[in-house]
Order: sequence, then structure tokens, then C-alpha cells
Amino acid sequence: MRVKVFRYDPLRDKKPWYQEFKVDIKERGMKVLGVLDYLNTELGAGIAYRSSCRSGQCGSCAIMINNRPGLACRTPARDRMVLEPLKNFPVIRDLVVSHKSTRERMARLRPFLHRGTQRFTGEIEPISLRKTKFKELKDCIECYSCLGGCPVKESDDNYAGPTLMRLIARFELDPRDGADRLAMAVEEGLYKCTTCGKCTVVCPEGFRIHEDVIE
Amino acid sequence: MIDDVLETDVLVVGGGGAGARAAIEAARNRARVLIVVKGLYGRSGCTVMAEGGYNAAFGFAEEDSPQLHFEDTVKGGRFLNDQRLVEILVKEAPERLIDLEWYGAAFDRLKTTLLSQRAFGGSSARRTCHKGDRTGHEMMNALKEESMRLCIDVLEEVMVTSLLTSGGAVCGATGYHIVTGQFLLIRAKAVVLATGGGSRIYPVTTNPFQKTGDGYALAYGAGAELMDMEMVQFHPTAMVYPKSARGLLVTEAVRGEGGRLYNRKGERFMAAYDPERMELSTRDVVTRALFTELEMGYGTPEGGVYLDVSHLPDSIIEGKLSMMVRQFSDAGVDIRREPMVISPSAHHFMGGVRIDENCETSVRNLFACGEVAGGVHGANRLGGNSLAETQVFGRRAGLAASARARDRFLPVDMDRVEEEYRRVFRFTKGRGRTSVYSLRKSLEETMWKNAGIVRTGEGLRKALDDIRSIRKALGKVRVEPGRRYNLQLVHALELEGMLTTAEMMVRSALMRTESRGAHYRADYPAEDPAWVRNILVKKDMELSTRPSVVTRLKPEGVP
Ligand SMILES: Cc1cc2nc3c(=O)[nH]c(=O)nc-3n(C[C@H](O)[C@H](O)[C@H](O)COP(=O)(O)OP(=O)(O)OC[C@H]3O[C@@H](n4cnc5c(N)ncnc54)[C@H](O)[C@@H]3O)c2cc1C
Ligand code: SF4
Ligand code: SF4
Ligand code: FES
Repeated sequence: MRVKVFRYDPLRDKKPWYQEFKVDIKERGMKVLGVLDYLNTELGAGIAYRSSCRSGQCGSCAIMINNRPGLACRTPARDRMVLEPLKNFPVIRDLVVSHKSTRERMARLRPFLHRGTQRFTGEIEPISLRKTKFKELKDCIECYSCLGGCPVKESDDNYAGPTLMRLIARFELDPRDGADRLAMAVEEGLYKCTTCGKCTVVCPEGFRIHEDVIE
Repeated sequence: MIDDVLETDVLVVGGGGAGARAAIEAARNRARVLIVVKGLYGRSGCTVMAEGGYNAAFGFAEEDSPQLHFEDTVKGGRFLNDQRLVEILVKEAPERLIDLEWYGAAFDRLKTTLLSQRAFGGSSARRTCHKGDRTGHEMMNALKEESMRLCIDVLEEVMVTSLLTSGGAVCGATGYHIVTGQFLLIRAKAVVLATGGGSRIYPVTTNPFQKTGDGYALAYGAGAELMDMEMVQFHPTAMVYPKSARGLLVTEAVRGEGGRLYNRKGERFMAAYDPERMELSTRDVVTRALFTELEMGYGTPEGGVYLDVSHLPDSIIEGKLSMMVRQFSDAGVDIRREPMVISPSAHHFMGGVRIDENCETSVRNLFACGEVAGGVHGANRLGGNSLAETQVFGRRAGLAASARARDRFLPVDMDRVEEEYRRVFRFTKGRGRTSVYSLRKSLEETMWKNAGIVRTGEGLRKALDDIRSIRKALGKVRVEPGRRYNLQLVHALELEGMLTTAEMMVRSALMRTESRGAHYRADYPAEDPAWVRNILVKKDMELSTRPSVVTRLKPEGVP
């Protein structure tokens, strides 16, 4: 199996370069993350990448795999694959990108429940949380694959992007939340979304992001 | 040498459920708080992966009470639990769950407004609250949202490498900032350790990469006392291949639905170990049976045994085990047609840093909560108790730590900091050629073989020898020189801590000449009433024992 990996250490390299590896892995069901681990532990490649849970639960490992955003731990490894850092994010080193500005923008959304002051007591608050969409939206693992795949985000930074729209929708749908989330979404560029659906295609959780945005 | 100095009232080390809860409570009590996480906040620990649920004796599903929860927990823990801590756990778990909903979580409901509660192994009532099979994820989201409300500072991808002390009290920590490559000095009036467990010391584990037990080594280095370090829970069923998925949990529901275990020879081997309950025997029995089969060479070529559901109708498999269908089809296995290959996997550390009711350790200003702390689970943990533990004790640790905000900063011994700086970066200047990964592999292997599911005096002594020689070889390790996102450096530093933790585990296991809960000695296979004692370990590997703390439930078999 041949793998091409994006390498870049801004402190040492003048510009990014690609390193090719030939690995002898014949295992059934091998994932991209497994190949990266192999390169580092067996070949001492010293590639920087993020990972934690290995099972699509933590959202740490999203990268570009053959120019498409995906979770390294769930995407099957293929011959001649090209691994690059997630698009639309600044590179820290190799496959690791900075989430800083995304996080800051998120914080601006005041992403917490704008609840009243009355505390639930004893029997737990009878909230009508059975809306399925609301529940599903909370399952986002914040991998930012959708941000890496959004063409509008790529050219127009005024648009907050699908992950953040998902976050706003999560609060909009929460009956306990009192903030005007719709106004917030508009402010963050809701109408810039072309509903092309690219974000939905790459979401490992299978959210129908573009449809929920319109909601 | 030092690239940056940070100051905070309360430093929280670890960003899982326990760390986040501690930070929230400290911030609510007006302390300045800084959370430092080795990976990403909320996404680099076990909490976010926890599926099953959160034990709280609401008694919504059926008759239940904190008292019953208490008894289940202590009996499950084979009386090694610190019963004071268990009393706190069962009393406060429901309140803390309500907190979580207040922060934004939404647990599953029955048709009524009441919470849904499911049955879990070892619990005599349906007590486990959940949100589908993503309970931990839901909790973590709520905790992250609440910490945003409180504007708590979070520093991600900083590995704490040591705790600093001044006159026997903790006064801060040092850290390697993985993203920038900086060496940080963090001064604090109180430190809350919430680094989780260390199941990564074993080659096969359900745990994420960051769980290398750093907190045990950090606490040990600061002079704190640890307890029950020999107690490690192994989950019987976990994936074997592909390599990238090795150790991942295969839910107990597979056996619950009628899955059968076979060895390579096609025998349903559970008949030899527990003919009555067969596959539905308890976790420790199934784990040991599997281990024995593998030791005797009856395993599959991949190194596991078969778990088969193909005799069940497709409709049942697809309906009730859909997650497993997905997990295995990701691995190229159609479980409706072929058997799964599974083997046991290291899952949870019951032992840890000894704490009092306010989570303070034996070192002043140092607090611990979550999996890194010991005492709550005794010799065996019940499923669902850990998530509750993170919240109950996270809050207590945060509360007690925030009271130290009124104190002054203690002076930092700069010589010690410089020494630590040299220790951390010596690997980048190493002369040898040894790969840190080959050493980690040897440690993992010896722990698995000699200090794993079945232990003997001889094996444990062998493990001790191996640990010694790996520590020696550490001097020859060289990692790449870059400072920025240097994973090899992180892994080397982890290894150094893992060696300390492993030694504590092995020495404690050697001392416990009986079998109890998760600790099984083939040379002492019976439970010994004289051993209702905790093994404590502290500086210079000094071991001692102490009778377990009893409040309400007297140990069985002890007059
Ligand atoms: C697959 C799986 C399923 C589980 N299911 C359940 C369940 O259903 N119910 C239940 O009750 N329990 C369950 N558990 C156990 C439970 O999840 C854990 O015991 C609990 O979440 C531990 O929480 P914690 O906050 O102590 O640690 P964690 O959530 O593991 O967090 C540890 C944190 O410390 C950080 N850290 C580690 N070292 C350092 C360092 N040196 N410097 C800085 N930061 C550091 C890590 O990055 C991480 O953020 C499960 C565990 C696993 C692995
Ligand atoms: S649907 Fe909207 S958010 Fe999604 S990728 Fe297209 S433009 Fe971006
Ligand atoms: S919406 Fe989907 S793709 Fe986007 S961050 Fe969440 S899980 Fe990832
Ligand atoms: S490693 Fe957690 S999602 Fe891939």
C-alpha cells in the first residue's frame, strides 16, 4: 500500500512537502488511523496528527483523505491515498490544524443554555425533549469535517459555517433556551449558505446539516 | 528555560467529566480556574466514550434507594471500598444528574416526564440513566457549555509533566505545551487532578490514547499516597482486529441477546467454566475463561475467540445490535454471517490516589477526582458508577479547592523547575537509537502477560524485572528534536510515568496474596477474609496496608 502524507512544520520547513511511504499492511478493515499509527510506531515517521477514541466518538481525527474530509479512525485505508490537513483551517504541523478562530467564533455565539432562574427540583423538569431532531443535533462530535468541506466557508469568512449553524440550531430547538437564536444565525451569515449539501455528505454522524439550517 | 508563567487559583489537570465538573464548581465559588488538558477539552478522555449510563437511585423505573445502591456497590467492590465515599456517591449522584440537565443535557425520558433507567450488571434495580448509547457524550457537551457560560479558561494540548511542592504542599505544575512547544510553569493555590485512568499500560484496551495513567505518577511524584493499584477491570469482550480497532468495546448486549463463545476447535468452552450460566456468567469469570483458552493455545489465528450471533435471526441482530453491526462492518465483518473475533480488554482502574470526603489527597492543596482517585469502587467497579463518580467527586473537589483561593501563592523552587525542564527535553538530545515505541510495547506486553487478568507471584516478579530493565533502556531513547507537536516526546514522557504506575501496580499485586474482585492470583485463588485491607503505596515504593473503611456494611466472612 502506498500513502502520501502532507508534511509541514512551520518552524522548520520553508514550505509544505509530501512524503511517500510504502507499507506492507494486508489486514482486513484497516483504517486510515491504523496506517498513521503504523507509520509512526513502526517506521518512526514522526507525523503529527490528532486522535483519541479510535471509534468515531471524539471527533479529534478529521483530516482530508483524498481531498475529502473524513475521520481517520473510520475511513478505510486505500492504496495510493493522500492524507492532508483539514481544509479551511491553519496548519500547526503536518495533519494538525488550529481550531482557535473557530472556537473563538463559537464562544461569540454564547453557546450555552439561556435558561430562566428557576431551578428544577426533585422530579426532573418535564421538558419536551422528545423532538428527535433536537436529540440528533446534540450528537455532533465537533469533528469539523463539515467546515472542511464547505465551499462557501472557503471563500467567505463572514459565513460561520455548518458546524456553528448546527450549534445554533441545537439551542434554537431546545425548549429551555430563551435567546433569539434565529437572529444570531442570520448575523452569522445563514443566508450565505447555498444549501449545496456538501457538509451533509461528509458528516460522519449523518446529519442533514443543510436541511436543518433552513429549518 | 521557562517559556511562560501562568497563575491561577485552581489548576485543574484533565478535561474529562471529573475535571470539567471540578472547574465549574470552583468557578461558581469565584475562584480563578484554569483547565489544562493533554488532548482536546472534553474529547480526549473516557467520559466522552461512555455509552451505557449514569447510576442514580431515583427509583423511577422500579423500587430503588440510595441504601440499595450502597449495598450493590460495596458488595460489587468486595468490601475494599472506602464506605464513606460510597455513601457520598449514592446520596449525591441524583442531585448531580439534575445539575447536568440544568447545564443543558437531556437524558432519555420514559413516556412520562421521568427519566428512563436501564438495568446494568451488578445492580439490583434498574438504576442507570442514559441518553441512548451516548450518555458520556451528552454529559460532556453540557459540561462544556456550562464552562463556557462561566468563562473558564481552558488550555488544550498541554501535558502536565510534574507537580511542584513547597514545604510538603502543592504549589503548581510544569507542562509541555504540545502545540507551541513551550515549557510552562503554572503556579496555583490548589491543584485538582482529574487525569482519568491508565488502561493504556496494557496493549489491548477500551481506552483512548491519552489514558496513560499520568495522574498516578504525578501524584506519586508529589508524595501522595495511592491505594488499590492492583485493581484493574478487564472487559471480557472487545474487538481484536483491525489493529486500529483493537480493544474497542463489544457491548455486553451481544451475549445478552444470545451470542455464543467458541474457541478455535469449535467448542463452546464456557461449559467448562460455568455450565449453568454459560456466556451469561459474570464479567470476571468470562474474562478469566477467555484468558485461559487463549493461554492454552485454543485462540483463533488473530488471537481471540469467536463470539457468534449468526444463529440468531437477522431481524434481531439488526434491531438490537445495530451499533455492533456498524462497528464490525467498518472492520469488514458481517456479523449476521460470520462470527466476531473478540478478546478481553483493559477497561478501568479502580485504584488511585487516596482521597478524603473533600477529595483532598495526603498532600496539602492536592485534590483528586474521577478515575484517577481510588476508594469508591473497591476491588471491582459496577457499570454506570463511574460517570456518577466524576460528577459527585468533581463537584466536591472543585468546592474544596476553591476555598484555597484565599491563601497566598507558595514559593516555587526554581531549581526543581530547571531539573524538570532538563528531564522533559533530555529525550530530544538522547544519544541512543532506541525507539520509544519498542519500549512501550515491551512494557505493555509484560503487563498483559504478567500483571493482567491472571497473575502469579512468579509472573509479577518477572514484570518487576522487566520494568526495571525498560527504565534502564529509557536512557537510550532518542526522539526527534522538533519542539512543536512532537508526539514522540509526548509518548516518551508518558512512558516514564507509565513505568512508575506499573511498578506500583505490580508491587501491590505481589503483596495481595489472595484473589478478590478483579485481582486474580492463580497461586492464591481464594478470597481471604484477612485481606479486607487496602494496600497503600507512596514515595520510594513504600507499601503498607490498612483495614478498609467500614461505615454501614460489615464485610462478609469477617467476625
Ligand atoms: C469505552 C468506555 C465505556 C465506558 N462506559 C461507561 C458507562 O457506561 N458508565 C460509566 O459509569 N462508566 C463508563 N466508563 C468509565 C468512565 O467513562 C470513566 O471512568 C470516566 O469517564 C472517567 O472520567 P474522568 O473525568 O476521571 O477521566 P477522563 O474522562 O478519561 O478524562 C481524563 C482527562 O485527563 C487528561 N489528561 C490525562 N493525562 C494528562 C496530563 N498529563 N496532563 C493534562 N491532562 C491530562 C486527558 O486528556 C483527559 O481529558 C467507560 C469507559 C470506557 C473506556
Ligand atoms: S450546504 Fe451550506 S453549509 Fe453546507 S457545505 Fe453547502 S454552503 Fe456550506
Ligand atoms: S455536524 Fe457532523 S461533520 Fe460537522 S462537526 Fe458535527 S459531526 Fe462533524
Ligand atoms: S479518534 Fe475519535 S473520532 Fe477518530
